[in-house]
Amino acid sequence: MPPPNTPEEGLLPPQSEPSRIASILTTAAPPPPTSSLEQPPSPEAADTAAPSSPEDPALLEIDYQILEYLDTVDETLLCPVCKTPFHSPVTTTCGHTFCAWCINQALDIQPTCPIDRQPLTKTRDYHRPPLIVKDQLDRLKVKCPNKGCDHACSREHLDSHYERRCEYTMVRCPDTKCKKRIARRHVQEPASTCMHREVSCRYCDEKVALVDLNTHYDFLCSGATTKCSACEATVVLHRMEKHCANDCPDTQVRCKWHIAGCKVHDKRFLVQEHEDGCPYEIIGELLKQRAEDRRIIDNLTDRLVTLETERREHQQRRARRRELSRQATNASRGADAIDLSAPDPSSFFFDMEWRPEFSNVGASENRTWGSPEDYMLARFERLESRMEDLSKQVVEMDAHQSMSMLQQIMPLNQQLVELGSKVGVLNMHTTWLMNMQRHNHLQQRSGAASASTSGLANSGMSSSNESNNNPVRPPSEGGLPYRSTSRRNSDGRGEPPPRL
Amino acid sequence: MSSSKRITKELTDCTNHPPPNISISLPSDSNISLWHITLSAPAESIYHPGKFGLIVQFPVEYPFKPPQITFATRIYHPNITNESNGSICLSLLKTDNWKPSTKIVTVLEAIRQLLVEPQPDDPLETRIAEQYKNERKEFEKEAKAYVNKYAKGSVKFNTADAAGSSTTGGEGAP
Repeated sequence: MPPPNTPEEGLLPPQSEPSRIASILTTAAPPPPTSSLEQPPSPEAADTAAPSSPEDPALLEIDYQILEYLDTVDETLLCPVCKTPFHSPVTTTCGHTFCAWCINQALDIQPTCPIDRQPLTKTRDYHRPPLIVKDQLDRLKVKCPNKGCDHACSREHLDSHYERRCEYTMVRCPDTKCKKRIARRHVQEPASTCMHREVSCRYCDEKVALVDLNTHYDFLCSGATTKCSACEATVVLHRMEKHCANDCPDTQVRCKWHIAGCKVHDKRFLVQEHEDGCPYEIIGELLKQRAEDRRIIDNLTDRLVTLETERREHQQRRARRRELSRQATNASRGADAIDLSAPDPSSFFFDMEWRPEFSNVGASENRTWGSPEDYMLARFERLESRMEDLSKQVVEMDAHQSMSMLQQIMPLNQQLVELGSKVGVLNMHTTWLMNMQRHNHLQQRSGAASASTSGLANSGMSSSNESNNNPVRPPSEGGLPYRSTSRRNSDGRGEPPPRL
Repeated sequence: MSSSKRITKELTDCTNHPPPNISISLPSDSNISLWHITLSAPAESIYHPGKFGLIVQFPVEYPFKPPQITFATRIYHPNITNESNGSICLSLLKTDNWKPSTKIVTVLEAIRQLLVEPQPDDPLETRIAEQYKNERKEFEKEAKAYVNKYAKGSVKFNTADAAGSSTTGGEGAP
């Protein structure tokens, strides 16, 4: 039989039935202990309940059926079987939605839908519920199931909180040989120490597991309590100091307005009564106000000081810059001569303020400059801008060049084409002339031949005339071209050459 | 093993939003599956102003199997056996008709309704049913006599019965 959970338990008045039920629900429910896997056990329970699962997972699973929801959940989101918001819901072919676990249980007992009793087969008749259901479930605000943790988040993020962040999650004992579990916040370095090894209590003879030591001191230890010297109350020993400082009604304390001058110094409960109407309260409030004002003023003063320092620095910098530019102009006047003799490239920098000094830097003459870095930076910037200008100019020039090139080449091209066409015309003319020449030549030759053969034929057979005529074109065939050519020739001009 | 969670859930709901005319108590701190109900008869029924004790025993398979509900207070009713441990004939509570989605509050409301409207066509006590149908005056007289005799004052849950029920509950619980 465990000792009473809290020292006050025996003092409680007899409860009314609803409050008794409520206390049963909060302390002992549900009494037939479910598998230790399903219920995040309290630190005490972890001591007695060894994890029953053979594979011993790193973390116990969250039991979604005992989660506490912050807002009232809409009835439509409750599983008809477990009456809690769906956990990994499935929808059956008849259109009803259940937690996967619940419908599996129900179908094991009776293979019909728990609502309309239509026959159902496990898994085969399951569908994925609409995503809107999942979204609504994800949005529900829940409290962390771990005892002691008051974290609340949307259900979607509960897993990550429980698995990674929650300090109250029961994890494996750092000692690999130990099979028990321990709240994450109790895991201490060095990591291999078993937190369940027994240590002896400082105040009594009991042996207590290391992890439970504080709980033991607070609630269970019989030797640890003592009577407060002032108020006769039973107090846990190591809480004594705190009790005297904060709670004990009989300890001598001063009025909280003693800073305002109240002289009351009495037992706490008397002082508390007095404090309600303490005449020094107004002064105390004023003092408080003043302290607050003082703090604000201090803040402002601090800021003012920083601002002033900044301003002074700024002024100094400006003065120095002015000084520098003045020196620079002086120096430039003195160094003009050197620069004029400078080689050609330096003409790029004619427009530069620091031009004269450029030639002097090489001679390490930076005494005129407050800081050589300033000078170099300015120099560098100017060079850079100059470079940019130059590259722009180069691009421009390039474009200009190609333009003018194009302009020059275009007429040349045209002329070339013209020339080509003229050559073509000439070519044709030559061919035509050559043809004509040949025809004329042929005509002359055939004329002479026919004259000689006709003289022979007159004395010979007429039949041989035909055979002799053979090599020559018959007049009927060749006559027309000859005639036409001769006519053209007689005109004095040839066929006009085809114009191009 | 899920039964305790569902029962806890329903008990929490009942404590947070107590149903009218029904009060719930737990006879044992360690057994959450045995409830004692005190039911005030509705004003429109002949059993008014009687208060009746009911014993609710949740099976291990709850909510897949129906809870067993009996009257601890004797009552003269066609659908409730006329003995100290009155069984109830209610279609809602029959294994074939039971739906896991039914809440215990709904069942208790149905029982209250049964007090207003007895169903003599589906009786447990045929004699009372006959009387209810044929000699209504006699029936009402008898019923009122029962109320005066058993259902007045504080409700007593028969300890022997309660113990019997709780032991069966103990066997059933894991």
